Amino acid sequence: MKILGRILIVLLVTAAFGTAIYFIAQAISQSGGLLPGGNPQPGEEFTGDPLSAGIVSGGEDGIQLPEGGGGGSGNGPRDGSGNRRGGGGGEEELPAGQNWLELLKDIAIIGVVTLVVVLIPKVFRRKKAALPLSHV
Amino acid sequence: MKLITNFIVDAVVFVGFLLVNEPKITNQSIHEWLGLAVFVTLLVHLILHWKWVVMKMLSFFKKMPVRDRINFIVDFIFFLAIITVTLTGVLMSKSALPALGISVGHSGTWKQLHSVSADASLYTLALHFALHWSWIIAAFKRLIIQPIGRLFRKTPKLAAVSVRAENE
Repeated sequence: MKILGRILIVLLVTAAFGTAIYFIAQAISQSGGLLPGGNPQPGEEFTGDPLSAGIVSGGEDGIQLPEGGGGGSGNGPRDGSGNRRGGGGGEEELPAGQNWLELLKDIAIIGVVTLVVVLIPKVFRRKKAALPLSHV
Repeated sequence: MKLITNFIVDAVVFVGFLLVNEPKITNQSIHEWLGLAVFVTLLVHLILHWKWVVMKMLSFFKKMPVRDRINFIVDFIFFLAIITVTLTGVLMSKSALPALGISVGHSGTWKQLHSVSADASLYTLALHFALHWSWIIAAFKRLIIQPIGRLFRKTPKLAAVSVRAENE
């Protein structure tokens, strides 16, 4: 019963935050969006200024976003294979092995942050201990 | 029992999160389903630490050690980032929700928000990991290093029995 109550509270809090985030994002999207030039809706092409939006032309048959450029939603016109184009990364293939390098990069970030957080207090403690008594 | 449960849940969340954070390693559908699974496991993690959360929430505006305060803020930001990344992921799902017969519209805002909150969750997870480093090391030693060490160590009882048997 206790656990059930906790689960319910967690779900309620999650739903409340989720709803708030949803409406905030909707409001931002409607007031011009996070993307300069507005966001394309499903089935419609991006009509904003490609240069200011950081979007490069993908040829005659679609728009493409540079990798990591965010934005895009896979709403571009379909290519010959029936797949949607555009979409700002996530679907384009990288050379084999590079994907695992990305994972290693994430692990390295966690490692560096851990080193900094764990080592800084130790260094400060040592410096404090090394100070002569007149400075304390 | 509680230590081992916490350790397993945390390890599963950690590995799952790292895999979900790189959708190029998994394919789209695995990314979506694994993301949902990691989200549910994170809620389990939250429920397992319920007492700590309630205690820190109640004493947040009172006197509290700086480390605990930072820890609580980091955890709260991580919670918000995870909710955002899951919500935006669900809103632009191409595989998980359509498989359940639910179709959702796609918007550039969701994609951008998904990417930003995924980065935020990685950095806050790194901070959370760092702030709990001593617990992780202690649990790792107790649950993995010590049992392995015990396998290679002769127990004193057995040694005494074998010495007595040799004497007789």
